[in-house]
Amino acid sequence: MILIRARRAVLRLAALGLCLLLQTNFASADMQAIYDAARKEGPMTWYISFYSQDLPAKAAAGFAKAYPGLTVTPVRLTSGGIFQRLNQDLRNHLATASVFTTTGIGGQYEMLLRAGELMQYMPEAADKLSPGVKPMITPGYVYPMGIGLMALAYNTAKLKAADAPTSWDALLDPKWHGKIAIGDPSFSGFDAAWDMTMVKREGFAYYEKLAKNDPLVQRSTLDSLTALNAGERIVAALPDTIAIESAAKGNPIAVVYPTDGTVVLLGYTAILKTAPQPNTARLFTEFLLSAEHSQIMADSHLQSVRPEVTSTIAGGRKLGDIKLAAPISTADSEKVLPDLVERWRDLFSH
Amino acid sequence: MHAWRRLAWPDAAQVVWFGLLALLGLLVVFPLAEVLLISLQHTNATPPGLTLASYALAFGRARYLQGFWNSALLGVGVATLCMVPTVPMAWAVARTDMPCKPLVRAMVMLTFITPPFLGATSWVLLAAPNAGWLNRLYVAVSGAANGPLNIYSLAGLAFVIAIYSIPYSFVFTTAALELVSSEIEDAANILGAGRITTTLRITLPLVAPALLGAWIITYLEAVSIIGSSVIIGLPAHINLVPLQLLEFFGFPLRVEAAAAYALPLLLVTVALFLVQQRVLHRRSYVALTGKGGERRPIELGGARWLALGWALLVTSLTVVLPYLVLLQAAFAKAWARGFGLDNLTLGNFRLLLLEQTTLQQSIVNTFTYAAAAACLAVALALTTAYVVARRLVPLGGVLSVLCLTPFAIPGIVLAIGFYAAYAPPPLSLAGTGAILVLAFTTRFLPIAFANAAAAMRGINPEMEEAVHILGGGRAIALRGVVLPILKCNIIAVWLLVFIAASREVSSALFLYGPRTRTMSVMFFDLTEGADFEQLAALGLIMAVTTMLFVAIGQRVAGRDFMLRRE
Repeated sequence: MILIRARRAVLRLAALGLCLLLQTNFASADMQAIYDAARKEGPMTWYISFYSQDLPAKAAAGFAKAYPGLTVTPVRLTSGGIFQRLNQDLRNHLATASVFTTTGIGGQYEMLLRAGELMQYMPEAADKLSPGVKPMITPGYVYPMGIGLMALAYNTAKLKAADAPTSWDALLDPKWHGKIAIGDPSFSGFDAAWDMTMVKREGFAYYEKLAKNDPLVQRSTLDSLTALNAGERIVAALPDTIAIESAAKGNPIAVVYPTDGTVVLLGYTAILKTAPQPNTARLFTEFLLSAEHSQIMADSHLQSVRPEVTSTIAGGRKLGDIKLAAPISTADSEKVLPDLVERWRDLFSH
Repeated sequence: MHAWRRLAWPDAAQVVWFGLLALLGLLVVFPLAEVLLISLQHTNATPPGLTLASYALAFGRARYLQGFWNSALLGVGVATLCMVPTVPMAWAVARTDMPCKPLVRAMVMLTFITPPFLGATSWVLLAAPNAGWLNRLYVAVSGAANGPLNIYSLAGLAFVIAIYSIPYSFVFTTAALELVSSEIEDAANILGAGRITTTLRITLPLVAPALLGAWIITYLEAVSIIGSSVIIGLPAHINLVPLQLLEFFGFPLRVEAAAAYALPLLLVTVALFLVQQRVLHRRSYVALTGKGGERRPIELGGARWLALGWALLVTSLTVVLPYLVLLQAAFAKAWARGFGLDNLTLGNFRLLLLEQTTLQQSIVNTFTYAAAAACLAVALALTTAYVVARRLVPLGGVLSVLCLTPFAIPGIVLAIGFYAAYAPPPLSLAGTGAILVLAFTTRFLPIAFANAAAAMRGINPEMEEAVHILGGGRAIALRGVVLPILKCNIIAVWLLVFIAASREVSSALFLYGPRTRTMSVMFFDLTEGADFEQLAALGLIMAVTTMLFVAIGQRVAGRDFMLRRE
């Protein structure tokens, strides 16, 4: 046993050494040329909304390690906020960011493509993405780089596991009156994804029925989590990552993956046509689609887009263990979301 | 008087006039004009040309109009409600022998450095209908099924905005009250008026300009406040101007509609300003004449403890209770587990202060930008207030309106104007600290100006004329008379702008760059994530560091908390 461990350690060291040696030896001559050009470009600004809190910094650190000498500085905002920033740059003809990574909710990438604002680039890593996400690629422009899940969560101090709702439809039961917390789709990308998924399946009537249960409507996912932790509400629609992290600290939170389909929200990345650091942007795109980057996500309970990196969901299970709802494409969300948001807010805010 | 004004140094007056116009043009007119331009553009500026379509969109749905109406009502409610705790407290601090005044001032200061965002979050935990601490306490004590408080209501929203607006009114009112001389009150007493009659009919009417100024500032703040609207208004199902604006900034993005929706607020501000002019017109509020002017504290006897009790009750609502909630969360491993030794940790602070390298830079950024903005705003506000009050330049009313308008436009909309004005060439300030400094200066210029203007109204020009009669020029009058009298006001206004800028979120969100993030932006960022413990810790770090800088500032200025006149 000890021998095996020792041998493994030696192998790992050897592998590490090899990696260090090969660090700048790219698979293709093209990549080497791009890297050489990138080293002359200086720090690259990254507009990112798919990640919260410290993940952008972790990804930037991972990139700096994978491509020595290159720097990425993230600017993180909400999905809507980051699109507004990009928009004000474009409106004022300022090239700030090189890479734009977001959920694309509301058809953001479609709008940028139509306006000719995206740069064409075929990442070498694209072939190695999971077969499941390959249909979501817009070849040459927009690539899926991560997967988030919207599930149910409940307060374990107020509710026994056996009594927790197991599906989205179960939330319509009058016994949950005054006990549910949800987010607003005009602010929260995850809630927008959930709403579009439910409306596609059951029509807007789902939310008209849910409104009868008087859910607590707040802006962001943290607000729902706080309402759950405080015991103000007992059940909430929440991204599983934040529920898992809060529970890991000792808060009374548990996740339920609804039997009628956990909602899937993809993160996408694209390079801007006006990218001030186009070569760094190309390499950063390769990095976002790489196994190293997928591992960083998996460590934070997001789902990987690479088949060789397996990430876990709550309870140590795998993505394949649960039923998933078909993700809404960003093109569809451009058609559906504006009207949905108006009706939704007419229902919940007046 | 006229002759002196015209003949003394016409060139200097002209220089000041053009200088002020140029500065206000750059800081106020330029960004507002950009907002106006955006409101008239087609979506995403394509196709070129102007249109009124955004106005049709912005006012074309019942819910949008309802938002305007709700905010208008809320503003009136908040501005009026805010006077109830503030005026007695300010009077007691400024005019009476109430004990523990430094404590009360410190508590008001703490209220002010608490970002309304943070205060609203704490009050949700205190007074949410089911799990609010106060409700649970009530249930535990009374045995009732439910607690009486519901923060998710119009009343709850008005309450939270009002208590965090107290500092503005408090500073305005105490500053003015401290200038009222006891002799005026003595005269009323001699004529047979009792103490209460004197206070209500002589003292308070004398500070009407300050009260009105505070009312207007509070009204405008309540109409455009984003944090509390999102945290309390949204769950209460009340549509408000800031919520509607955020909707325009969400999916789908409609910046043009947001600009169109916000601009009518300018008309409201101008209307309020005209009303103020009409109300104050033709009356004298000169309190500081330079003749005698002894100021003694009124002896309250036993009632002074009542006054202190009131002040402490009010500030316990704004400071003590909210910070208890935050302290618990900031030092907890998992805040929902409640109090307990095994749940205590310093980990949240360690993570923020040591492991996240970005916070240290954010702290430096925050206070550098806030201090620079405070200096600029104070200089501009005092100069404008002085030349307007002494009628040294034409169109003083226009200058006043210019100084006050930025407050009418919510920061999130103002930010798009700032960006359009300052980011592209020739200024090319995108991603720099300067763009934030300029934005903060403009955004809080109204606070500085309203305060400076109220102070100027209270100073009798005869004192400066005396300098002139004795052969001194205006420079000597300013240096020897006006500035020393206003020294306290200057420090107070500087602190007001400094603190307001140090906690500003809404205009910073779209202006900060990779290296110019401030603490408040970082705080806002954390509200999107999962970590309430870290959020609370950062809130405390913000409060403590701001307190530290304020204390240093006061040490340097050699003054006690907030404008105490010695």
